[in-house]
Amino acid sequence: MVVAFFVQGITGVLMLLYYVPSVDQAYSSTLFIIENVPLGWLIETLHLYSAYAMVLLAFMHLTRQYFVSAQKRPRELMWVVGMLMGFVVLAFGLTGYLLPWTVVSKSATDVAVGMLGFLPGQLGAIARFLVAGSGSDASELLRFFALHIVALPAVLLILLGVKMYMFEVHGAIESPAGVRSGTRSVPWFPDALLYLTMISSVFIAFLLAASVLFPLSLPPQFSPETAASFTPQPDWYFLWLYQILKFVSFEGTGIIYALVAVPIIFVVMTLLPFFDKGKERRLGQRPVYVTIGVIMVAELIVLTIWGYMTPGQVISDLQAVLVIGGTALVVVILSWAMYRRRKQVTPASSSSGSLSAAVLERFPILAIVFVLLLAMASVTITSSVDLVSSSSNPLLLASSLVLSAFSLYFMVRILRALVAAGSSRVKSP
Amino acid sequence: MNLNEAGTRSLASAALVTFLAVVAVYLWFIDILTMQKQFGAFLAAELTAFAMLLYLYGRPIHGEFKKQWFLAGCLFLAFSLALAIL
Repeated sequence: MVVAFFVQGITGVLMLLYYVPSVDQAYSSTLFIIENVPLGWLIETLHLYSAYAMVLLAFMHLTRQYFVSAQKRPRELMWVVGMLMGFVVLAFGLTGYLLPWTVVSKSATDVAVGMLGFLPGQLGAIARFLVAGSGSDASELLRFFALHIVALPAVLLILLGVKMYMFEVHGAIESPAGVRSGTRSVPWFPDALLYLTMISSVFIAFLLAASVLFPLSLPPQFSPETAASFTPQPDWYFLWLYQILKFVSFEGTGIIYALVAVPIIFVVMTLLPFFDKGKERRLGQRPVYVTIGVIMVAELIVLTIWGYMTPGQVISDLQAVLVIGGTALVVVILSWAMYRRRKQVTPASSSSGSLSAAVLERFPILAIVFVLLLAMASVTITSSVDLVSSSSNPLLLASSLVLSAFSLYFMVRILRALVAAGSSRVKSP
Repeated sequence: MNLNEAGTRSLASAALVTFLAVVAVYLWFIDILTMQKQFGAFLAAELTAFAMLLYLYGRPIHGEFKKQWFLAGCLFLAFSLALAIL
């Protein structure tokens, strides 16, 4: 993430040489960078993709820390600071999205800023003024620009410094038993430094290759006329929120419920260490928190994919309950089956130690396959719900259901293998 | 190919250093105004080769050298070169 932030800084400064933060020139100067400045398209694309990587890595880091119980004593404040850093990263995304002044970015930002007006009392007016200024396009762009290049980097750097200090004080978190055993200390120089340089080189190489393969193409410039014929949709990392806001219950004045519920979830997540005070860190011993964590990740993926598939479409309450509730139900059933199986596993029946070691060694690959299956299940389940409600194309519905069943079956198989391997690892002497 | 043997690592390192030098010289003389895509792809290849060299040079943090990681690097290197050439 630090490397991604570093790439963001370098490419951002280079773009500042040409970018003009005014309503008249924001789009044309961005287009100029892409089309006329030597390697400008590469710098612009690198900036975008490193931002994506930063959001993705922040999310993956958060998920990992949750499941290894990194928030537990004495690292409670590290968790809180990490969550704040996550919000700053999202704010980077929101503010940076507007800057090219395209029809996509301006329309989506207008929706986001407009939502602030629904906050109760004076909160709405204050929040709108802080984010968008007097309300004119020019002041909105200037505020977003200032936040993006001055305020947010400064806040992120301060938080990074605080987190690094706490990391020095508390050290790295130990792996929970059953996931990895046998740790040894590694000197910072040269081993850790070489390792980090290697990872950074690979990361930047990936960004470069992706930029060459899929260079950025700018959507049309914003104007009220083009915006009228366009369905606003946020960038992928806000699609889950976008999808929630499309639920019919949250339309119109109902939006206030979403604006209260979503921040409450964020606050609870941030203050998690003060709720989850138990000392147990092993996944196998924390069924409730593990299930809640998997539900959150699954809902996030499902809502993101669903939001991408249904731009501008209002979601009925029935569909929302079916998909959100269905996902949670599936996770609960899987989790219940997994923990039930874990209790039944005995050292004698849990196959040999070498088999469990092999399974645990493949943990990253299995985790990736699991996430892919989860994504496929999300797509097929949401498609099935859409197809059932529109009662069209039974063949498509059948194939969608078959694919859902296929994904769920293999997800269960992976979970069972991991639980069996983890159990035998813990129980074997 | 056993990367835990010093001889194999030396051979692979020599090949990577040669590759790095050749690509660095090529990147130095390339006309970036007309070959921007190639520049980006060769830079990706250069960084990948550099990472592979660091992998062979440094002591592995998680146990022994793994052939799979090195092969993954070779594949990505080939992919980057293909991006540059095609």
